[in-house]
Amino acid sequence: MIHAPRLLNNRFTTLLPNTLFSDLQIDKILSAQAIAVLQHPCEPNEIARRNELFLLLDKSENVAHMENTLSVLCANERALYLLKEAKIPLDTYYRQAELFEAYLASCEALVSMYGFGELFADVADYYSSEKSRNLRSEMKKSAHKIRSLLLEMNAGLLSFADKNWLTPDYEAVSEIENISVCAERLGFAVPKKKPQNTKINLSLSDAMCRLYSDKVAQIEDEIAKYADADFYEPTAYIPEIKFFLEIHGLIQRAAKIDVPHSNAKIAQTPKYIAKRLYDVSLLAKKCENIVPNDADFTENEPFCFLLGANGGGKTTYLRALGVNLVFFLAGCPVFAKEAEIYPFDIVLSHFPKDERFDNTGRLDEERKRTEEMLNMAENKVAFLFFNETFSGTDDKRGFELLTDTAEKIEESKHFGLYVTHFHEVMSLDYPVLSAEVDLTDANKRTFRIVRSKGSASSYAADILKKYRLDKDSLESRRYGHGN
Amino acid sequence: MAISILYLNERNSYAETLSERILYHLSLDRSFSHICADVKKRDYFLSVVSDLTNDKNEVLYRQEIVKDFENNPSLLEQLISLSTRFEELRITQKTAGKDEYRLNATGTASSATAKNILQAQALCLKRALLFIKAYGDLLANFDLQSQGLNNLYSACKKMYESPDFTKLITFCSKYENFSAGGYWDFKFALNDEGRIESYELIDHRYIHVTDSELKKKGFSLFKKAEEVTYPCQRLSPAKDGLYEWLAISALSGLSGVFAKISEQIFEKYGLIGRELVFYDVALKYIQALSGKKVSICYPTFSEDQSIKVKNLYDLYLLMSKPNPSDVIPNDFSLGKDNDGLLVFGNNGSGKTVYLRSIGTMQVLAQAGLPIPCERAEVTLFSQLATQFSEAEKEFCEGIDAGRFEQEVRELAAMVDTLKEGSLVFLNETFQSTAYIEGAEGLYHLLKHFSAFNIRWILVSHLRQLEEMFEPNEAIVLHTGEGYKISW
Repeated sequence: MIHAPRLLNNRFTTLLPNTLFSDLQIDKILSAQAIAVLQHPCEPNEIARRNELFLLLDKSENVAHMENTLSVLCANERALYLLKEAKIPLDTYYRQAELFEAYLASCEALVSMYGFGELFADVADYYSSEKSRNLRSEMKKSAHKIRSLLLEMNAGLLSFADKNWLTPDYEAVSEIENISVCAERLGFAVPKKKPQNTKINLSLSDAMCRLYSDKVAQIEDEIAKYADADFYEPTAYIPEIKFFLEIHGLIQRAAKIDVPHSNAKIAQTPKYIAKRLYDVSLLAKKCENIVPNDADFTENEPFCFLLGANGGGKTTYLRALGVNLVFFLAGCPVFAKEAEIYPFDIVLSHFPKDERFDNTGRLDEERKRTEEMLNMAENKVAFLFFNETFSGTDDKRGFELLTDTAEKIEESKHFGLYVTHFHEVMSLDYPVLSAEVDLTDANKRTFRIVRSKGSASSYAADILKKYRLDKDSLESRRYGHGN
Repeated sequence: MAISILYLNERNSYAETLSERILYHLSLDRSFSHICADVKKRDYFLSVVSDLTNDKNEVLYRQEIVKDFENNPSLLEQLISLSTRFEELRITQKTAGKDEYRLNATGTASSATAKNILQAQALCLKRALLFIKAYGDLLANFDLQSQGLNNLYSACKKMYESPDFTKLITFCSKYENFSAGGYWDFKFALNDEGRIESYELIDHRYIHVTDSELKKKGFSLFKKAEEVTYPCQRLSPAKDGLYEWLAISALSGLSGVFAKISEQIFEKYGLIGRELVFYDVALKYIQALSGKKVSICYPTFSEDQSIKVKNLYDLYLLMSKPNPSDVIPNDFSLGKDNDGLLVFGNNGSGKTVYLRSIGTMQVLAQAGLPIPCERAEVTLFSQLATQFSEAEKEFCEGIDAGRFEQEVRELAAMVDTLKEGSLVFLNETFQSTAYIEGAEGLYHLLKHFSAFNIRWILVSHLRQLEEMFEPNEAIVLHTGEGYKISW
C-alpha cells in the first residue's frame, strides 16, 4: 500500500535535548510543536529541501497560498471531528456531506501546492495519481447527490396541539412575512430576523427520516461507498505546514526590526562561519535593536572562550550562535546576512541552573552535567555551548575544571563556545573572544564581540490686544487671516 | 421620518442655537414665567424658541399653525388629550419590550410568557394604529388653513384608508387573542449545516395531516373516495426542551415585528404630543397679551433686510407690571443700508428696556410667534448675540480677570464665532474702563462687525462714540422724556 509522502521527512534519529531550547530561549519565541520539529536535526538533503521551501515563502503570494491550503486542511479536520461528534442520524448525513466536500477540497489544495519545491512536489504527485483522482471524481458525484437529497428535505411544518405533527412544507408563508408585506406597504420597515443556528434533536431527526425514508436510504447508500477511504490522511500535513508558517512568521517579526535572514550554505567540512548573526530570541523581550555579531569557527579553531563585562552581550552572542545553528539544522533560514555551516550531528548546552539541588551541591551537579554532555557528544561532530559553567566555586577549582573540560573538547575535536568570567583563560592556548564597547555607535551603549589577544492708560489697550480686539488685530482678522 | 408641526422636513436653516445667556439677558425666562406656570412646559417652549431658525418658510409654517389653534382652541385641547394617551401607550409598549428582554436575558422565558408578551405587543400595535385614525378623525372636524396640520391629517388619512391598515389590525386582533389551548403551527428550514436557521409561526390552514389512528377508529367510514392522503409523521416527545425553545423564539420573533412597527408609529407620530406643548404655551402667550388689551401682530418678512416695527412693547414689562398702560411702546427701524444703531441716554431712561424689547421681538418673530406691536416687518438673522454689562457678582467665572477683561474675553469669543447675517445686542459695553478708551475700543469693534455684515444695536452712555461715527455709518438715537425714543 502506498502511503502519502510526508513534508517533514527526516531520517536522522538524533534528538536535541529540551534544555537546549530553554537555554537558548527558543521556547519563548516558538510553540512546542515547532520546537518538536527543531529537535530533530536533518541530513543535508533535507536541509536543502526545506531551505528551498522557505525561499519560496519569501514571496507573499506563496505564503497566502500556503495559508489557504492550511485553512482547507483544518476544515477537513473540523469536519472529521464534527462527524465523530454527530449522534443524530440527520446530523450525521450533513456532517458526512461536509466531510466529503472538505476532503475533496483538501486534496485539491494539496495538488495546487505543486510549485512549492521538492517537498510539496511529492505530495502533489501523490494526490494527482489516477487512483486518487478516480476516488475524488466518484466522491464529488456522491457529495453532490447527498446535498441535493438533503436540500429536498431541509424544510417542514410542525403543528403542536393534542398531537404533534411534522408535514412537508407546501410553500407556507409565515405570519411574519404576511405582516411584513402589509407593514412595508404602509411605509414601515420590518427588520429581517437574523438566521438561527440551532441543532436539531433526535425527535425531529427521526420524524424527518421517517417522512423522507426513500431519500435517507439513498444517502446511506452513497455514504457506504466510501467506508474504506482515509479521510484523516490530508490532515497529517497540518502540523507540518504550521511549522513552516510559524518559522515564516518569526522571520516576518524579525524583518520588522530590520533583522535579515538567509539560507546558510551547507558546509562540507565542519565549520560555523556567519556575517552579522542575530539573536532572535530577543524578540520575546520585544527588543527593537538587536546587535549583530560575526561567527568564525573552523576546524583550525573550533573552540573558544568568551570573556567580558556583565551585560556586555556574552550570553546574547552565545544564543545567537546556538539559535541559528538549531534553525540551520532543521532546514530553516538563519538570521544572518550570510552563513556557511556544517550540519553538526548534535548541539548541546550547559547553562547555570536554579540554586535548587536536591541531593548534591552545585559544583557536583555541573560536573555531572558536563560529563553527560561530553558522553552524548562522543563520536559525533558536536557543537557545545557553556555559559558560566563552574562559576559557582572558588576561582582556582573552577578554573581547573574549566581547563579540564576544554582539554576534553579539544581531544574530541568538538566545536564549542565557553562563556566565562575567568580571565585566566587568556593564559591558555585557546582563542578568546571578548565583548567590548562599540565605539562606532555614538548613540547607544552597544557591545561587539571581538577577538582579544504696564500703566492705567495702556491697560485697556493691552487687554484688547491680548484678545485680538484692538484696531490692528481686528484689521488683521479682516484682511490677513479672515474672521 | 417623524411628522413635525414645528419643523419642516426639508429645513433650510443655518441659524445658530440661542444660548441660555441670551434668553437671560432678554428676560424671556422671566416674561414666560408670568405666562406659563408649568416649568416643564415653559422650559420646552423656551428650548424651541432657542432653536433659532432663519428659514422663512419654517417660520410661516409655525405662524399658520399658531393661527389655526388661535381660531380653534378646542382642537389644541383635544389633540393634547389624544397625544397624552398616545404617550401613555408608548410607555406601555416599551414596558412590554423591556419585560421580554428581561425574560430572555435571565433565561426565565417560557412559551407561556412569550405568548403573553405577543398578546401585549399585538394589542399595543392595534391601539397605536387606531390612534392614527383618531388623529385623522379629529383633524377632519376642523377647517384647517395651516400646511402643518393639513399634512398631519393627510398622513393619517393616507394610512388608515389603506387596505393594509385594516389587514394589520386584523393580524393584531388575531394575536391579541392568541390562545395557549389552540394550534401552534410553525414552519422551519435547515441551513447547509443541517441546523435550524428559521422557525416562524404560520397560520393553521397550511397544516394538512392524515391521521391514520383516526381511520382505525372508524372515522374512515366517512371518507370520500377522492380524499387525499397527506404525508405526515408524528413527533415523538422531546425532553431536551428544543420545541419549547423554538416556540419562544418564534413567538418572540413575531412580538418583535409588532414592537418594531409600533416603535415606528411612535417615532413618526410621537413628536406631535411634545410639540403641542409649544403651541399650548404660545396660545397662553397670545391670551395673556389679549388679556392686557395689547395688540399683537404676526410679523411679515422684508426682502431687503430692512426692519420696521410700530409701537413695540417690552414683553417683560407688560407681563410684570399690573397696569399695561404704564408700559410705553416705541418704534424701531433699521434700513437695509444701516449696519448699526446707537442709543444714548442717561441711566434709567429706558435704553435697556428698548434694547430688550427689540431682542425679544426678534427671537419671538423667528420662532413663528406674534409680537406685541401694531405692525412689524422684520428680517431673519442666522445668529443672535448679546453682551450685557452685568453686575460684578455675575463675573464668577475666571476670577483672575477683572470686569473689563471679562467683557473683552466675551466679545473676543463673539468675534471668533459670529458669522455674516448676525445681529448683536450690546448693553453698556465697556462701561468699566476709562470712557475714551472704552469708546475707542467699541468703535473699532462695531466697525469690524459692520465690515462683516454683522448688524448691531448698542445702548450706551459713552457719548464719545457718537462723534467717532460718520452720519452714514450708524443710526444714532437718544432717549427722551417718558421713556420715549426720539427718532
